[in-house]
Amino acid sequence: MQLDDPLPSSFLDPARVRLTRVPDVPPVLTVDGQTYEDVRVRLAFPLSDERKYVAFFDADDAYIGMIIDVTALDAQSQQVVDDELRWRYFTPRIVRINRMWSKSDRSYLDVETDRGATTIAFKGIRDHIAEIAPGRIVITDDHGNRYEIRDVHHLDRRSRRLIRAVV
Amino acid sequence: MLLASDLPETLRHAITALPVRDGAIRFACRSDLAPDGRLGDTYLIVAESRLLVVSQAGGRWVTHHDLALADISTVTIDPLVGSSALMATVAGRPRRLLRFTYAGSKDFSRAVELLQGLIGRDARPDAWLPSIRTEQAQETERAARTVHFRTLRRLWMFCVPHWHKLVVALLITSAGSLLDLLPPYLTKVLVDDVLKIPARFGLLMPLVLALAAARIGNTVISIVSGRLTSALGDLFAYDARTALLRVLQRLQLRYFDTHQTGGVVARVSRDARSIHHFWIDFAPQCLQQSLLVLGMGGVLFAMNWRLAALVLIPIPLIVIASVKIESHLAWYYGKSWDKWALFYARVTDALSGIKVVKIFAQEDRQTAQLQEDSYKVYEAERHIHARSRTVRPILAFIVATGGLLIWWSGGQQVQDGTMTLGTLMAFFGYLGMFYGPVQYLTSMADWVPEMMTAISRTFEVIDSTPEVYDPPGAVPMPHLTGRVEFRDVTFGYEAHRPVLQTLTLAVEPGETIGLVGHSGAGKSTLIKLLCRFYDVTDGQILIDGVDIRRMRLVDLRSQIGYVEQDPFLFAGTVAENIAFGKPDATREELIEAAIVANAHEFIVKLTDGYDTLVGERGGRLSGGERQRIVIARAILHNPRILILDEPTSSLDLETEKKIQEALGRLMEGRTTFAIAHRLSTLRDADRLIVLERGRPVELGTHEELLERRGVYYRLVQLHRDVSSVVAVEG
Repeated sequence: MQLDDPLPSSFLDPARVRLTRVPDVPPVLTVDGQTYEDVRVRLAFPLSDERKYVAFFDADDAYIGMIIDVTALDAQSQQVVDDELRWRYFTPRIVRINRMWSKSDRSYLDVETDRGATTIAFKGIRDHIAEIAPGRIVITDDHGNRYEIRDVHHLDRRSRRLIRAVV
Repeated sequence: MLLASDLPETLRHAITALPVRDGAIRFACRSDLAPDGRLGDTYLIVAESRLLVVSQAGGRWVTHHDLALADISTVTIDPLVGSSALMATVAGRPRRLLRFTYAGSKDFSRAVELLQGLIGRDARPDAWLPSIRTEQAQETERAARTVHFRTLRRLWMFCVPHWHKLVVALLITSAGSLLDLLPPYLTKVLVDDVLKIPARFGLLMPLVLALAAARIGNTVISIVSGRLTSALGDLFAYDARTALLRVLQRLQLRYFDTHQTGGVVARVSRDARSIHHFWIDFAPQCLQQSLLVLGMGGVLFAMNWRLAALVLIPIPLIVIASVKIESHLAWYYGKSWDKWALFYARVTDALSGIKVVKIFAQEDRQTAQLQEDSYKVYEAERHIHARSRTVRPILAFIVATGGLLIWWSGGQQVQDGTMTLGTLMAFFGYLGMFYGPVQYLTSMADWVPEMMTAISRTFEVIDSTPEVYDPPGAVPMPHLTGRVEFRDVTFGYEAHRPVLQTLTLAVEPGETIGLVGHSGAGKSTLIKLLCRFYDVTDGQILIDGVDIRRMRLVDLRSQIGYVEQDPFLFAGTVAENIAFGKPDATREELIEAAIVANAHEFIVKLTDGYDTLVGERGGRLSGGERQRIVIARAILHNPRILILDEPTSSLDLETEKKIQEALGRLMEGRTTFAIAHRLSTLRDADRLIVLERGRPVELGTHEELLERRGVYYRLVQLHRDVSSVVAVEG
């Protein structure tokens, strides 16, 4: 069997990776002297590892490569990666559950998150609340927005009781 | 299957007259069809080196066939309609030996197997004789297993690890029962000493308080013992489910050939729940009520033995009625269970085939079909309830007659002044508590059979033969080189109907073998044998020179990779699916495997990357994506032997190319068996083996086989014609 494409190298050497940016414009990536503009940054494990396994894609969304650990980059590049990740991944963290009720076939959660208070509405518990790791719960509302409980044990007693009644 | 001693006396005498000795009978088999086609006994007897077919006519034994085993080249079963025929090939011509109805199928299949062994080149010694014996013994034992006592003993095994908790629960429950004895006694004191004329008011308040204390104590104890016993019940049920699940995973694939998946699901969910019921509802209640019956009975006799004797009169009636009903209802519960299992199986089927149903717009018909099954469940349940709901009020009436007797006899004693009114009232108090449990214990007749049926079915699964992963004396082979050899392999799912015949093939490490043939030619069967999902009927499969039946199963399976036609993804994340065969893989290894499989890029582009949850059957991913995840799984697994079942359907060119690339990398350096459909794979294979009706007909490279202009050539031509038709139409 013949291989048309050579195998892409698995991981980039963080010493040869640099990211720079000007405000409000996607960053510029330099790998081994080659420059890519308007780079997209994605996590390979967005739910289970937020600062590791970061993949870069060029302006046409073609894969460039991946670094294992962000902290191996220089400080400026690290900052850029962190900014980019914050830009791409928006998941408010629930810090408190005030009320939980259902009306007809919808369930509602009145919550406070690290990004402000809101009411989460969704239909059907099974498809919308998932414990992705012990103590870690992700809630998806009807629009597909995501909310997260980082660690159920860090919630107050009442919130914990409320959420434990459904998951 | 019969032994000499099982044959009728007269027949044995008849045989002794023949030129064989009685003791020389190897085995015999009884058919229920006489040679003239009427129902009657015909015997196949294999004695020494002869095969006899004998039947009774007019009180005498007549020999229909008497053949030397050496003259017989093969023995087969020819399936007819309503019966089957046992055929032997003698001097190149088929000979009809006898016929048997389907009732004899199993015995005669076994007989054919044994006969093949006797007439084949490797005439085995008489070593199989004891194995027939044990088989029979096992069957008898299996019949005895339905006895509830066995089931109860098995249930008890579940509590052994938790016995100390059980003792605590027991003690508290008994304390509760003792406390129940108090209120009626207090009532007696209240009526006789406090409410008598002239009344003694000073005692009223303390007595009412004592009554209240008894009630409160009772409530507290019920809560505590209830929580305790049900927690234990949940625990036992969990243990039972775990045992069941462990066994289900380890069952031989054969089990799933004969049992519908839905039916198995019903077992796990419904039947394991019945174990839960047993421990939560049945066992604690049964215990408590029994204690009450004993306690109350004792108190009643102590208070007034003549009255107490009257109380006992209805009890034999109750017991007899219950026992009769139980055995009667058990049939209906068995029926109900079957209907439920069928219903579950149908629903599971309908849901997994939902796409097909929708495409053919057959929703209504499916619904109607399911409704019909549902109706059967309704009917079965209705029969049960109609009976139990009739029986219970009648039992209640019998119980009530006891009360009537007490009013009559006890009333007389109060009138005579031989008994106080308080004693009579206390008596009634205890009586209510006595008949209550008695009635409860009788109502058990209602649901104990159902529960026991379900529980024994659960044990039936738990007790079934699991795959032996590590038989004693198995050869550990943790590092295979991948040399595979098939030696005269013959196999049939039923012994007399071979699917593969005398297949011989030696494969060098790293070689790629393409398996070619029409569907049903035996390609998948060959793969299943290599994975040891089934054992060969005859011949051997060797890996690195060792018979795979002698290898540790774990070593064999862990070094075989399987990329299946319809890639199966488990519910879980993409990462978990890739790491399925190597759960301790690091993320770097995972990513590298995905890169080799051309899967990394599309995975990282998913919203949740490797953390993406793939639903049942991986519905959220495209076929090509699922394929590549499965390839990554195989790469990470790093098997020495790879099995590749190519999908028949083609994907778009770009995806196809990526998959081809990934497969090429995967196959490098591994012994590969590819069930190939794509011409490119066939061309690249080192050798191709062409199967036709279970027999290897051609072996060679793509070019060699094309030149030969045989079966393979025609297959490729056909494939080309089809492709060109599609191309023209497209």
